[in-house]
Amino acid sequence: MKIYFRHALCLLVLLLGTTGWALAQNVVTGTVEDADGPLIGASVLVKGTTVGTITDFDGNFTIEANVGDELEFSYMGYTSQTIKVTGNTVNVTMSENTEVLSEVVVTAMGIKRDRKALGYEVGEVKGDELTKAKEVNVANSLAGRVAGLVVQGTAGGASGSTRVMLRGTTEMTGNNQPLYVIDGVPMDNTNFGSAGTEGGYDLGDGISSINPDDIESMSVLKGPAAAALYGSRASHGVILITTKKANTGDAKWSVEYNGTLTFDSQLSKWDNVQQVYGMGSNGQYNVDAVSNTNKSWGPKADEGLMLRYYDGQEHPFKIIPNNTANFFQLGLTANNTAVVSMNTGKTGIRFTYSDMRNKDILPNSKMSRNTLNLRANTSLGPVDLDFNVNYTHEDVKNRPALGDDKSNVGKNLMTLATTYDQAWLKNYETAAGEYQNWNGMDPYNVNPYWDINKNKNQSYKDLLRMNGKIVYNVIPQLKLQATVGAELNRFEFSDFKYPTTPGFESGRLQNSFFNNRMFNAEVMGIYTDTWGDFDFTATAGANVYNVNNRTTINTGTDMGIREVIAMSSFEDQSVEEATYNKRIVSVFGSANLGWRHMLYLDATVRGDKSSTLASGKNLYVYPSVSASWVFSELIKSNRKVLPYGKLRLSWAEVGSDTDPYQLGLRYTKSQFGYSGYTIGYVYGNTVPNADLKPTRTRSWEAGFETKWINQRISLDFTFYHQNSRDQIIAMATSPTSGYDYRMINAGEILNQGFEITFGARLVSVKDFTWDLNINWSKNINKVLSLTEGTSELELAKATWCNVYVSAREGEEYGSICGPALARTDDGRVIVDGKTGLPTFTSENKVLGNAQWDWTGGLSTTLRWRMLTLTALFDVKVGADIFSMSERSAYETGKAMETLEGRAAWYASEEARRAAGVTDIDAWRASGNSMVGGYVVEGVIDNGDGTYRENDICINPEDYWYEVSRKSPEMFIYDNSYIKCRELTLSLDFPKNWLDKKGVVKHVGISFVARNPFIVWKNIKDIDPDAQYNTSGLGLEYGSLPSRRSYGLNFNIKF
Amino acid sequence: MKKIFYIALCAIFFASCSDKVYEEINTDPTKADYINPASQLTYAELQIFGDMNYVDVHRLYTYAFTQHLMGCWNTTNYGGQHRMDDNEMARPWNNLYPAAIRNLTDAIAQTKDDPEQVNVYAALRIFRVYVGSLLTDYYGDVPFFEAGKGYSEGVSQPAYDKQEDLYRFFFTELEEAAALFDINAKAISSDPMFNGDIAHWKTFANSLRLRYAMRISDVDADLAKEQFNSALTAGVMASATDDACVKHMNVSYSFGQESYKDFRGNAMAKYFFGNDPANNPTYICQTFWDQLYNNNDPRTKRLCRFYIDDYMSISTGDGRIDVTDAVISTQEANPSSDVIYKIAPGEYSWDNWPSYPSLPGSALDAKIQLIQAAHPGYNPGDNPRWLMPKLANNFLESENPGVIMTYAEVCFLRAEAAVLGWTSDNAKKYYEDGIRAAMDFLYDNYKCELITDAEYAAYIAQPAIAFGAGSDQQKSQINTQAWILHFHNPAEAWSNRRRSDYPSLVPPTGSKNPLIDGDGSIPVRLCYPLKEETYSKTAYQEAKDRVPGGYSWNARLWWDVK
Repeated sequence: MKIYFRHALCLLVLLLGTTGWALAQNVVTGTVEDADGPLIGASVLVKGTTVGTITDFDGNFTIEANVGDELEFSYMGYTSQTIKVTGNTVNVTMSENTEVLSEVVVTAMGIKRDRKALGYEVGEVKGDELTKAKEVNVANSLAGRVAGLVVQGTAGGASGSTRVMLRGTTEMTGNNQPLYVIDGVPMDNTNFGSAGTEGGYDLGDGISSINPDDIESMSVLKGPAAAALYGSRASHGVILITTKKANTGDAKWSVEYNGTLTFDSQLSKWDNVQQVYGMGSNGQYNVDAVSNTNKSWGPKADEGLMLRYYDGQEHPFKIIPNNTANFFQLGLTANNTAVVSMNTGKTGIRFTYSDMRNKDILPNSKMSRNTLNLRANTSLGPVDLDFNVNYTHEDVKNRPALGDDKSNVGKNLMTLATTYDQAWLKNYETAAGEYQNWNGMDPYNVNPYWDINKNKNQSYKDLLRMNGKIVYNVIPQLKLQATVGAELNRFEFSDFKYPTTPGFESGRLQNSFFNNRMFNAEVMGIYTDTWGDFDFTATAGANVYNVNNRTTINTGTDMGIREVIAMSSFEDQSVEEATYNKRIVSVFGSANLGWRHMLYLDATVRGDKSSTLASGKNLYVYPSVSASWVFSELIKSNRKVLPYGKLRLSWAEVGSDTDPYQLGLRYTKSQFGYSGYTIGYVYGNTVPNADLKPTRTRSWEAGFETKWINQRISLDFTFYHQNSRDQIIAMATSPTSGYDYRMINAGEILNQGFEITFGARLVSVKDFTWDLNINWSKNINKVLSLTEGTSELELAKATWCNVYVSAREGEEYGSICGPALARTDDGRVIVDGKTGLPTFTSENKVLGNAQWDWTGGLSTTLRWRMLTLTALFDVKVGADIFSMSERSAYETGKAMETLEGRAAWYASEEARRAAGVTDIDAWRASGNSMVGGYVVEGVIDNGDGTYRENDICINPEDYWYEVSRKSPEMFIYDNSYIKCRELTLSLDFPKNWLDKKGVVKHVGISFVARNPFIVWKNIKDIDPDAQYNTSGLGLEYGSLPSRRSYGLNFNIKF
Repeated sequence: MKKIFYIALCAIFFASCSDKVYEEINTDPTKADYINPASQLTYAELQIFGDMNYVDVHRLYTYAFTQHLMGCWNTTNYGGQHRMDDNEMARPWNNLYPAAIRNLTDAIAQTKDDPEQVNVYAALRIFRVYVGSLLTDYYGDVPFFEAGKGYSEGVSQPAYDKQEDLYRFFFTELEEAAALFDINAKAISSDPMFNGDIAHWKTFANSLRLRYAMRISDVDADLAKEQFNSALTAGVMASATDDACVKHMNVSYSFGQESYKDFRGNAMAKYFFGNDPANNPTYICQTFWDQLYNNNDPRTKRLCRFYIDDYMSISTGDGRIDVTDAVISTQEANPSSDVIYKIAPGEYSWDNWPSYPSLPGSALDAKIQLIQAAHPGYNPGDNPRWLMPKLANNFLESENPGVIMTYAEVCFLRAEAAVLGWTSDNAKKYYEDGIRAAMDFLYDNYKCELITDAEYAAYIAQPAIAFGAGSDQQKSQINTQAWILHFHNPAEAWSNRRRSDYPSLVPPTGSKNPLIDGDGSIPVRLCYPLKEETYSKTAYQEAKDRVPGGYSWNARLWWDVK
């Protein structure tokens, strides 16, 4: 790795010194035209070099080329030509190529189709867009690339999972994530665990184990019409991943190396911290410096003052700017992939080995992932065979604890007093190796050094994914194919807390074993024919999908032998078991009819029978129809202005089942044994329902696709409308029913919106081009109804301020709700006349919404000779977030705004003490004009329907303490942002610079950056992508700093 | 051949999704479709003191309202400062219904038609009444008759039953259930309260009727009197061996996630230990301390101790240095000095921060010197919270019983009934027996040092303690003793105090810590969870509207008229 880079760097220096390099050569001139006249902006390139130009307004060009060189002429929409230079003039007449317009996309069932035949929108991402600036989880690379595709990472970092959403939330509950299909086989994207209200770990998801170097392309099937053939599992859209096959071409062997090395550092920092007052409470510090360590309500910092801390060390009482940032280290991610590919005639083999290592910015936290992928394909007469096997091993050490977890390092550091340096916490253990009390044993702020050094968690994942496809070409029109895929996913997570850890005083070890098995088999016949002006394709097939998951969780408490971290070291052990078994058997068919490459009609139908529903309700059939009209075919004369225009329209219905075991009541006993007794109970907290019927989602979409001015500009537009009804929901219910939820068919949720994609080649001169792509989408996600007598469904709960995120009837999905401040009719806050504190209403109100108003992306590529600069921006606007981190910043007196009223209050208190008055009320009542402090902006009820302006001075610490526990609306922020997701500057060596024999096919070197900067955000201190899990929308707590990474990518191909 | 192959293929395909195969797939192999109903009774019994999620309400509110405890952050912040918090007030609601009530309801339905199971059936019904009484005494009108029937009867929005109706039902239900026990039917096979002893179940059911009769004495004296006597006839607890105490197990001290699912240990004891013990132990409220100490109650030093916690183990009471005798004797020898620091209602332990009294030659001074010899460098002034009375280590044990009802309580109830003229019992005898039983209770259950006959005799001989004359004084004495006894049964402590208004408690004065919510009097109910507005709007609104004078936590319950 290192050697490669050194070589590459030498080359880079050499090359940059010679960019002006151009030997005096023969000058060739000429004209490029088509049947109608000159072509403006056609590109002319000396083959095998970077020497190139474009034609002017009259179609003329001038280029330096030697006799014998080959000139390549290309123009969008025309067939390229190569002409050997024989003299000083070369004139070319180009001919239109109708084929160029036919862009092939992979659609449902892996069928490749002409884009113009599709009556629905399909987004596409090419594999090579993902291989340079790599993300550890490839799903994160999709952010900002496709209209309507929203990607949100979590605070979990590299090893965490990613939330991907297509066209909003269609189901009230459930994960709402799209189905990933790899080479025709659905993937298990199980998230083994995520942080909840009480905290926890993000154990990652299935998509993260895909190596971007193996991806040929990703097709994003957004709407049900596109995905209808995949059935229930595709009701949230489908992302089809086509992996690479062995290169076809002349070479029998090809070897490729792709390496990326990036350094990871903190992207977001705490920047709204007051720099005046230090540790303490009520304007006073504690002499022992053991309590109030996480409060900055002390006196003004004073450098001359020395305090003695928990470990006997003395430190000055001064403000330490960025007092926690240095806890984090410089992270490192190295990603090395080698590809060997071979083909002989009809047989191709491609083998990939990839090694990813990541050292996180959180000390002692690291991960590695090895991926082996073998793809083999061959043809035996009329039979094509294709086989793929992938093995992934992933090893993660010390995932960060998230949310309200006692071990969340981010949460525990963020409130550390302004005068407290995190480095002082390094003496985390006593001589006996036990927890060193540093803050009065506050169990909610565990010493982060203890957590990263004494407590351990580790996970292993072994994933084996196989699929094989056999295609029998019966006659040229008819193909029969069978696909079999299987996935074995074994995941082991072990979480250890050393005895004396606050909250886990007796020690604890939890080993979780996940054994997931998925099997999918499919047979399908494809018939294609042409009759005169008509093209016809029909498919029919059947599918069996089977999942068997088994989970065992062993927990040990009360550690008897501290020296060995093993289950047998624990006195009290308990076991929990769970399974997830499900089968869906389906039949499906489709028919496509095309007329004159201009009008297309598609129809599909699928029937599923799911094991999760009761007999009689478990069979459901759903159709889709779509049409497309390539109207540009009618206006051929206008080819240069509008070479391509298409209108499309589609309608679909999809049915959806549920999780297993929702139909009947089950019992279990406690995981804890109590000798002589059995502790038994009704299992679960949901009322089962044997009458569940499938969820129905109906949708239609309409749109157009156009390409303008020789295809230099493209503009696509889609409007969609989706209605999911009879949803299978675990509806929250009054606990007085004995259950917290009941399974029902209810509710209706509406998603509608627009998607616009715009692309343009802004500049194309000589050897410089500038491309710009913009996508924009707006989704309105409304909860139309829930069920009789219930108007709200809680989706996630926050640890503070009684806040929760819910689906409320008549509101947008994802309402952030909680108690609101009591206000007068004209909106003034009503203040309690006794306490001077604000008052609250006794009902929960909608205070914000966690969904984006609109999202978009902007990518741009600038090419100049062998240099390419790309940038990708991700824009998300209009969502709210309840930031419990900010809440803590105010409660603990760290936020800048908490300065208000402090000086006045402390002065007033000093005066009171000097006057010998012990009672604050008496002091206030004495009308002492010196009373100062924080005055809540609001009015006091006079009790007779009138109000007076509040003038009660209170301790700002009391004020912020009260509101930070009761008033969520103060800590709900606009979470909009524009982030630069990716920057790459790459240098692709021209072929003629490589060795003459042609052994080296490609050398490229790039500077890459992921998430290098946030262009704009509205929330202070934290990263807007800092939610602690993928389902708890709109809630943030104790997020670790997000990561930015920058480094180099090197690619060489033989 | 080919045909056969295709037919076989189709057969396999359709067989793989036959309803029988599907049913098998959709059955969780790790869960049962039947469980011994006695194990569900076990679960409900253990929850009352074993469920950390539920019993936290005592630390947060109940013990503050009874003024037994005060000073630790949790108790003072919520109950002490009268701070309403929807989540915390919802603890009994959100935890008892989906656990105890659900399982009792389910098991009752499972056993009601099975004559073999009549004993467990009767026990389940009795215990469901007990859990229902907890709920109604917290909240007032609550769902009960239809509660827990989300599955069995599809009731997702149970009606809120009037407290009045509930109490009337409790009597008939207890009477009926107690009559069902049959020595010849199947024994109750899992029962950590009585180990299946049906005689104990009977006296428990009858004794509960005494409790509930007394509870409604101010609102329906006739029914109360009738039920009280009927229960006495049927047979009530006659000695400590009849005590209804749930046996808990010794489990390790932990606040990890799974400990919230583990009901085996006594969770109240865990909270007494504190989840940050060295910083936040359980302090005795001044009210409770004064009652014990000022009356020379021999229980004072059994319940309250002075500890230096600097060397305390993080997971057990080990390492605490007990300085009780030195502190008390020094205070007594120096009445004008501040030695003992008491925490007044509404105060945090740090509001009246102690300072180490420099009293050379005192017992305390001598004790400190001894400690310094063992722990060089110990500075008694560094963290002088050891001058405040804390709960004794005996009460921090995981295996301490879950106290549902005791013979001592029965004595106090009988004493008061006699005072009311309901019975011809000797009020004085039951009053004194109650005190004796309450003292023995500490020895029997918490390994406290036995209170000798001499100690007891000296105690009850004092003018303030000796059974007085006049029903007001007698009621005051009886219920004050009940309040001391019910330290071990906080839910009953709060209810009986609200009912009897003894001992009279002064609401916190909010100079340092203003009272946040309500009218300033000690709250007399917990508010319904706000979520009920969403889940059960009509019934919830009706129940609130029924409260005379407007719904708030200062509005009295039906039985609490005075």
